[in-house]
Amino acid sequence: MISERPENWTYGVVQVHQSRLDPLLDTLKKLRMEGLTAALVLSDVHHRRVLPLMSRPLRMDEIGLGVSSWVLEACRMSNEAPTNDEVATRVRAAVAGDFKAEHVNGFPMRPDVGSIDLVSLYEPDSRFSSIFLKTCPCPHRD
Amino acid sequence: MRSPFSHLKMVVRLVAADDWRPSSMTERRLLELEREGLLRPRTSSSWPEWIAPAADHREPRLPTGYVVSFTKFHHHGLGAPPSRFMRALCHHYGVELQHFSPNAITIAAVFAAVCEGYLGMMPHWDLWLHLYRGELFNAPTGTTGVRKPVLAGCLNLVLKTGKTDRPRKYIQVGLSSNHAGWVSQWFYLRNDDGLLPAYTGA
Repeated sequence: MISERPENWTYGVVQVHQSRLDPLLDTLKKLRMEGLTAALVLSDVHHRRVLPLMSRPLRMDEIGLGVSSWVLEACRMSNEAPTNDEVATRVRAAVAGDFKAEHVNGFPMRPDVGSIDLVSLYEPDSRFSSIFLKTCPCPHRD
Repeated sequence: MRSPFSHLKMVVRLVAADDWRPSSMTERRLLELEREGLLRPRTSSSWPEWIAPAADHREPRLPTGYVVSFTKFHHHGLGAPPSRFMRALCHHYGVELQHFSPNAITIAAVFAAVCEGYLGMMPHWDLWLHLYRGELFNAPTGTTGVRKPVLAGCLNLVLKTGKTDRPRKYIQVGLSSNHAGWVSQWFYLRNDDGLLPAYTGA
């Protein structure tokens, strides 16, 4: 049982590296200004039949046309797409607000039709070098 | 006007935690979760992907190779085997799966989905540390200054605020405040390759 907050629960990024996050933060800000909310993110997740915290062979933005059916099967949790009403019910269980079925897929993820190509906003930026595409610290290898 | 005592922290006394509540999860209910595509189908009878607790399990009594999970976690985006990001969260915060609150799972799932589905990259660890911090939840007891630790759901993940405008740089995340009964919806989840920290009961 944890009865006291460990110090590392509040750790941030060392100051010298913070400015290197700016291109990403600017992109997030743009997403927010375009209207992306957690509810819309979760509706896309359920619409795609993936679980964000599950190990998958493909990232979500790589799930699209041209992907082999067996890889898709390894990414998706179900062969049948849930209805928009089912998706909306799941979203309402997780986030506040009255999320409606007509809002499902209202902010499509890449590479779906209608998604916003934000990657070009930060890719050419030299501040965002591959060194800072840090993977998560983990005691196990994938 | 600021109180002259505002710099003093209130001392909180901790009392004993409540015991586990018996699980309300049955095999039938977990099969429904499987049908919804939120749990992996069971493919092995000797080492199934999930197990409903036996009726006499008043608290978790796990077979070797399993951890305690909750149906809410799977509704909110957890899957098995867990992603590298999920494992990193356990590792960094030094917690077991049952220590996450349902909203912490939602926050982590949304962050992972934003990174992958909109930014086109794996969840970025430095960005995570920049945006979020962990908060310890102790349950109220009804008496001021007295709280009790919780066996499940003690880790909340909170968007950092402060001198900067960080919240305005992330998307809007309004979380549900209604998770009534979630702590009694526990079951045993197969811990593939021991990727998640083992359940210690602590």
